[in-house]
Amino acid sequence: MTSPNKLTLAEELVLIALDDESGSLLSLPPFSLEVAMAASLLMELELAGRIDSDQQKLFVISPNPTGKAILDEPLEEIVAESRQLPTSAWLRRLAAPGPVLRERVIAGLVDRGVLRSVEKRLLWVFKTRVYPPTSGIEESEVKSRVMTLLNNDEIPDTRDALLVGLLRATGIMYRLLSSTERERLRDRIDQIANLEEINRALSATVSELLIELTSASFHP
Amino acid sequence: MAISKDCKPVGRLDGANAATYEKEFLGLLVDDVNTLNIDLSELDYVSSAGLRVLLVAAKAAKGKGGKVVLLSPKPAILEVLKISGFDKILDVRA
Repeated sequence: MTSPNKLTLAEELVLIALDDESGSLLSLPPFSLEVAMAASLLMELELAGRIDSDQQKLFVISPNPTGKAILDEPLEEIVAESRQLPTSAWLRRLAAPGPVLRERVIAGLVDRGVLRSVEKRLLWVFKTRVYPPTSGIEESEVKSRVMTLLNNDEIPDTRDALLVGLLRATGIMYRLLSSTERERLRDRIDQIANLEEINRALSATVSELLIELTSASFHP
Repeated sequence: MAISKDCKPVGRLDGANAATYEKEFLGLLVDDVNTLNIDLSELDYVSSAGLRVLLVAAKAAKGKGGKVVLLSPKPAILEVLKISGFDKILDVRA
């Protein structure tokens, strides 16, 4: 469990997925952020000792609520499922509602004062909302932690390994790095991310969805 | 200098007993002990939660200048260790 002031993995992911200057979401591969947000919930449930997983399946360890609605809702769904499904199936199912989860996480960060909610107009007509950081301290801390981990050979903390997997699957990781750094750190990123089964399932699911989307575009 | 202790998890290492094993492994890494030899020869199953326990122990050992050595895993366990890349960062002796 995270302490009340500590950011969850979903919150850390959203912070890094927002452009520092504009407060808009970065342009990311289709579905990747939605599936990564779903993964972040499963990760928190694993860390809270409610579920566990292996290469074949995800399963319940304890059905007891965590006290956080955003985690207890998917936990209820997993508990209610009679079959033991693979992690990838849960990623697809929990990502299905689309941007709802991300918007919920952003709203929570606005409530806590980490982000500001600002209304903007596009082409002087259409209203849109952006979320610039209030101070940027939290996002800087997350980025700094990730960069430190990538640039040493330490054994990562579980939460950091999971975050690296989220950033890899969404492509955000490579946007944080220069082209030289990308080449230099590629193996280290994979080494850290692949330690976690859920990270491997996440990357595979994002890739599969992209292939399905491409295939549907060519064969409507 | 490596001062080691041995342990031998049996059966399953998963979310149901991960906390117990974590306590046991970290409990062995006290005083001058910095290396843990974990005999996996009687371990039949390891889940994500179980792998995390091995990683936590390895991190603690490395922090003391030592390491975790995983000994004699069964083929199925060795496969999991390879898929997750544990064999690249831990000392796995099949």
